[in-house]
Amino acid sequence: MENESTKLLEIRDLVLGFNIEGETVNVIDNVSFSINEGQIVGLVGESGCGKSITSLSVMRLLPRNAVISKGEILYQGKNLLESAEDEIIKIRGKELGMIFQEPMTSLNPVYTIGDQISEIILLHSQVSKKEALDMAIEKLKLVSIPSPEKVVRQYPHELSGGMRQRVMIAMAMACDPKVLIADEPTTALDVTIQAQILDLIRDLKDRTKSSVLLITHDLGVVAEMCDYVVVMYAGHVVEEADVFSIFENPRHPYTIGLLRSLPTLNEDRERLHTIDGTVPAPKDFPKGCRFAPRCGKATEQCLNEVPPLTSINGTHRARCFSITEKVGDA
Amino acid sequence: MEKIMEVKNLKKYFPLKSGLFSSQKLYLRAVDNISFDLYKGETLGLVGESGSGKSTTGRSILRLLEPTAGEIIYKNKNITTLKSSELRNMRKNIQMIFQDPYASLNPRMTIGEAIIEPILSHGLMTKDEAMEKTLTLLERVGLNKEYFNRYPHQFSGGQRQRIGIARALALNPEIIVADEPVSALDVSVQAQIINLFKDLQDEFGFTYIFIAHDLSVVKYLSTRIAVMYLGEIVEICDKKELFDNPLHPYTKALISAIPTPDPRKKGNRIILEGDIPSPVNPPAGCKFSNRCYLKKDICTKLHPDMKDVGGHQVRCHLVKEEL
Repeated sequence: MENESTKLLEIRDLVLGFNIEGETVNVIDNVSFSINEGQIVGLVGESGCGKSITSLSVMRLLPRNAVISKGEILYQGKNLLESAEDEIIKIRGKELGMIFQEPMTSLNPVYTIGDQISEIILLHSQVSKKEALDMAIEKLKLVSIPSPEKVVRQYPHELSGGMRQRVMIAMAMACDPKVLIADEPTTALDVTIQAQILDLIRDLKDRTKSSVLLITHDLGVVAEMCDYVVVMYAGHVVEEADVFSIFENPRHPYTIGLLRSLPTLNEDRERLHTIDGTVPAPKDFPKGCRFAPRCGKATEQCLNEVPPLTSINGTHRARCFSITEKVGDA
Repeated sequence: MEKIMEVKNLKKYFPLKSGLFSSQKLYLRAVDNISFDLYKGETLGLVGESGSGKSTTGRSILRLLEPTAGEIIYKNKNITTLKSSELRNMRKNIQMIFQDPYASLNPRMTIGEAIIEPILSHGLMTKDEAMEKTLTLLERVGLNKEYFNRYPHQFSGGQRQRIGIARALALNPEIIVADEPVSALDVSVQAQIINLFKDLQDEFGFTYIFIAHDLSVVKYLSTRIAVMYLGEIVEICDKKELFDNPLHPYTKALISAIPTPDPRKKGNRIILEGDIPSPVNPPAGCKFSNRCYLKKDICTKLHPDMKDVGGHQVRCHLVKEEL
């Protein structure tokens, strides 16, 4: 089973809020999970569940009005939340790489692709500009960009969406990071291009022996890519398990509902299962179980108390009162 | 089945600025010679990736875009040549629902005003009747009557799409063209809206043209599906037939590229190489030839015609026609 030494990145009891007009509204509440070496961990949930902000907090890229009131983010045992800014700069980009959903808004339109990739290399290693550019070309080859010698001299607008996302991945991988954080990396892409990019991420992970934190709303992508899945709802982790348990034996009513509401290619159903209502805004988070108002099985207890994350089997845990802890299993 | 609309050789070309010294005029061929029939009460799914021309097709049908060539026959009339008064009348019967309802609702109009406006502007009812109808519509699409006086920004994405639907229903249309109506929504809300589409069709007998890039959503709703690639229909047939027996290599790749929510079915995908070419400069011969994994010599030379294989139409040289 898991032991401490294989945990590469660990988030412990993270509580994060935004300061709005003098008041702090928490959007992330006691979120904990970890990523082991060589693992692809999926962070799943719908808009507003806090998945993106969790990943930004790992990179210390939070907006100014964000307040972390509790918790630790441990990278190789070191708490990133207590590190000085210059230490973070050494880690960000070198040890932890990140790719975003929309490559066009994350690439600088007035610099060439070559300039942008070599900038990171120059920042983190002692090489000449010429060497950095050669390394940039190597990185573009790594992500299967055709004629990389030409592409390094091009600007972002000259590339297609799929190519831009490849450039983003090349940039994120420029210094061989140990963890790649990918925030909805294929959401803006067409399906056939998405298949190419997912294939590339998986292949790179195997070749560079890195780990991936994949943030997505698409359960199909999760099943395709991930080893381990963390499901979030309204700022809480509601369920976590290995990918097979999540899809074959989901236990939290939200995970169950989400899986049943997907239209799939393989079956013909007359009506789709729906989850009534919508995701609440952070200032309206219910005081008990946050899913209770939308849950068909909610009891008085669910409405008034926050259920704990209960262990089901091995690492499989869910935050629901309907689950009674089995003895001797965890 | 009764044919309700016929699209014949529809083309929509957008002229591009040509270079200063170039005499050659360039066109972006968004929709390039497509034909299909629409039957009463069915849902025709139009699928394709960006640049396939699916949205342009939808907009051309309502003449929100003027087609370059071709005919759209509806009620024995050619929509492409209608005068503005006739066009106005036609649009009562064909309504559109857009992807982003927020962008298509006037932020300064309450949602009640937005829904009642088309009814009054077409002079179909008295103000009191229209009011009554609007309230019924709000309830029918699952919104509270009291929302009449609220503004679009006060609603969530799913609720806004319900408003967009109520507005499209206001004139009792026959055909509804829905352009990516659920792609901006979260999964749990998407399911609610898809069910609403299905219920409304059962209740009022609408004919839908459902445009989407997501095959699983289209599969769920459609009777027939047309797959588009670079402005052309490459395959069109019954939904079940398309998924059980896809014939075009592009359709096969598209179906296999969709990640399925089943971790035991990883891999075995057909991964297409390269990007979708620009519709300004499509490859010679078959437009899919530069990415096709089965391509033969003929594919880069000759543009394939539509073939009929037992009611299943496909545009590919490698598919043998039924004798």
